[in-house]
Amino acid sequence: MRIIFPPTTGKLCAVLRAALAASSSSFASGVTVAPELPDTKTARMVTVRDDSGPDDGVQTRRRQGVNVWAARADAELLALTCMAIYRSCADGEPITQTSQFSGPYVIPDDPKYVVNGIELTHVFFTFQVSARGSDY
Amino acid sequence: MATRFRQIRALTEMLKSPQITAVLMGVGEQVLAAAQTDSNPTYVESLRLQVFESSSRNTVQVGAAPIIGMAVEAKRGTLARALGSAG
Repeated sequence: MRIIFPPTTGKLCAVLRAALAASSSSFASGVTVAPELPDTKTARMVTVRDDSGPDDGVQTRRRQGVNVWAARADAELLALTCMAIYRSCADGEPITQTSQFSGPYVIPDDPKYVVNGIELTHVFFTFQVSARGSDY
Repeated sequence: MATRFRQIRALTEMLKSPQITAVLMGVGEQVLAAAQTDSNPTYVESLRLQVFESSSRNTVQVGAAPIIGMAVEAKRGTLARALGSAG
């Protein structure tokens, strides 16, 4: 049997986009979510990065790094909301578990991104995602 | 209860043994070597592998200086990737 493991970043971006769009919190509106920063920066941005990890032949366990940029008053709340969304996103298709959350930490950007005259605060957190492999 | 205490004590002795520490050092050295390939020389210079001995276990930690370590981890995930490559 040959096993192929699914990419997780696209699914995690889609989950976050949908959950933030459904949120009534003001800091969750208009958030750009992608694996990489957009060329044109926006007032609220989230990037989701796969930092790799081992597999046991059935499941892969990968560390994810999530960077959040927003105005100072919103950045930590937005990061905590993203963490809450990811804590409950395992649906088995293909994500089976999320665990080992660490952060959020404020990262001192030099220089800082400025959008519409507002300096953005950068916050970072990590977690581990487990995903099921399938027959290839 | 006494048996359980002896079992826990045996486990603690194992977790503090030189053999387990040597295994952890091997993994730590792999992680350190992978992290040292980062492109930022200041970050690479700040990387340290340390052994901590507590009352219940020995642990091996690879870390960088606080501010630059956090910035590099946010930008490239160097230590997370190094840990992943070490299995």
